[in-house]
Amino acid sequence: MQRRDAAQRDGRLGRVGDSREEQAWALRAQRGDREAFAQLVEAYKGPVYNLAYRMLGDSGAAEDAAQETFLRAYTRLSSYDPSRKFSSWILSIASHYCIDRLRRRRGRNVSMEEIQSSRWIPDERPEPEQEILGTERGRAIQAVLDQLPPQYREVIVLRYWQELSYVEMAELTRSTESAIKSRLHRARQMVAALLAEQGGGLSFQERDQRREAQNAVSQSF
Amino acid sequence: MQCHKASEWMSLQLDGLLSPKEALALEQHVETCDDCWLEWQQLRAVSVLFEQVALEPAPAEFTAQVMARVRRRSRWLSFVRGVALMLLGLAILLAVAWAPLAALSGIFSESPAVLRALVSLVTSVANLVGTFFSAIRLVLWSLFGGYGGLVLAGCVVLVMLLAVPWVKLVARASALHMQMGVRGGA
Repeated sequence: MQRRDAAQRDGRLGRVGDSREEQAWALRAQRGDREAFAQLVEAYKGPVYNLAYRMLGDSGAAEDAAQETFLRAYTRLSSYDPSRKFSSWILSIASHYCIDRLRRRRGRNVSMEEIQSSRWIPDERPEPEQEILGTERGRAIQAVLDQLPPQYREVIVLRYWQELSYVEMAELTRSTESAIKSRLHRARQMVAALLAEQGGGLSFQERDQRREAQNAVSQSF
Repeated sequence: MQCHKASEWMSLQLDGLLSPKEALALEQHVETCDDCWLEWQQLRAVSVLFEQVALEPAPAEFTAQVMARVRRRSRWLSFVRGVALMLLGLAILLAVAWAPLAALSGIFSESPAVLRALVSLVTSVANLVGTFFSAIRLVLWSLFGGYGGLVLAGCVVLVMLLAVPWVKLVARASALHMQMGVRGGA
């Protein structure tokens, strides 16, 4: 658990390591060992809750969804294939549940047609102080995420918070790698456009000036 | 390079999936194409933005709450499974007890009262405990009905004597079954 605590202190938790310890817990839980299942809950509550929060945008709904995810996992333990990673399995349950919830919600989802081409040109080097304002930024990000259609939101969350590969995402969402590829690309474009709608931006003149300066300085690759 | 392709490659570059050669090609295109340069800046900024947002931690009592719900649901599931198994067991027992009754129906035609009990046995299938007691009553009655009734009584009594250990066995097996976890619904 120490490894994970350290990662959490850093502010990001990448993937939960599917250590042999955790796989052992999964097997014991399948045989009815409830303590082992409790260990799994403790290990995966972070990623599952975070996924639910980013997908549903609300801490109350996220808590419900996360709890329901583990309950479903418990009742479906018999269908878990131990040769698969437990993290993929539990995240897939969480993700499907959240998508279902989103689809049932009445509410406006931004469609592709509504998104205009953007005028927003972001800062090349964000000021350090801005990075410290985590909560503010977090809320702003969440507001943008909330406007994405469920499947686009899903790939963003899986890519940036769970740090899954395309293959893993494809497996989790039961689609293909190329579908994930284009979906992620689309999602990024949509976020860029949404941010453009919200914020100001530089004029074209400023953009050109900036570009000149930039070409002289750094590489972006 | 087409802008459309460059756009797709930008996303791949953000995920580190371009080869050095491809990355170079993309870089060269972006430097010459204004629209693509703009898009690249935007997509990269989006990526950076997401990477800066921290993980939302789960609420404090989360594990405890989940386990409490797990216990409740587990109890409920056990109860439902137990009842279902018991009903199934009793239904099988009833079917077994029924066979000699059906076979010896010839004797019953001589004793209409016995036939009436039989009918009530059929109609009270839903209440399996009731039918069990009906079977006992039938035995006692048929004992006075002659040797045919004795044979019937013998069958039913035998079945009932076997029933007790059988139910115990089923209960133990199902408890073990639930403990082991059901794999593939065996």
